[in-house]
Amino acid sequence: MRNRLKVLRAERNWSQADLAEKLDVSRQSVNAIETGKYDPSLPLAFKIAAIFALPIEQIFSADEAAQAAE
Amino acid sequence: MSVLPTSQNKRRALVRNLMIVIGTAMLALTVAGRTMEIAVHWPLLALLLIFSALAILQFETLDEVAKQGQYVAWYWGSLLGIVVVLAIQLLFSFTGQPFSIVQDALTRWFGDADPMTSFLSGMMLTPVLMVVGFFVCWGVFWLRRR
Repeated sequence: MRNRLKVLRAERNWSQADLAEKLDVSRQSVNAIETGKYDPSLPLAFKIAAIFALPIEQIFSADEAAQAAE
Repeated sequence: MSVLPTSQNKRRALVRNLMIVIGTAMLALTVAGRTMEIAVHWPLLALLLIFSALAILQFETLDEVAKQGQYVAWYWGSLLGIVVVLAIQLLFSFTGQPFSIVQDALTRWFGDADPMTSFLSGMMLTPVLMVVGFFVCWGVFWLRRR
């Protein structure tokens, strides 16, 4: 799964710690999600979408391998 | 009304710090019991119960990535610990060099212990190695997600 968290965060001038505070998760968790090393659950993905005021599909997308398999 | 902070991150930090304090107190009591030969069983049991309650509370305060880390680390770490215990037992089924080196060392270590001490030491070995395995796998989980 790919995501645009880093870009969206940079646009708002938020640090990983700022986003972690808004999501009520640890900074390490934000980093793991941002670098694609952990795919968030649906509730957390919805929470992220709500915080950025964007639809989920504008933040997360399937990676090339997953898309190719479809 | 809850006495805990409303932020999950602050709750997590508070419970973790409390666990460190209680854990340190348990360790200090254990050392004091051994070195000064004072009865520490009841205070230790009380602290163990508080520690266990905090462990439940701590798990509730973890976010989903940390929970995943706990699941992965307990599964693979515990398995690793059990495999090591079984390997040690297997080592004792072989005779001659080089296996006798390990057997001789362990016999020297526990040789003069009474049966109950040997039994309790054996019982403790499994959870201790499982916890060691847990910390190894937990560390690997977070290192891979840095």
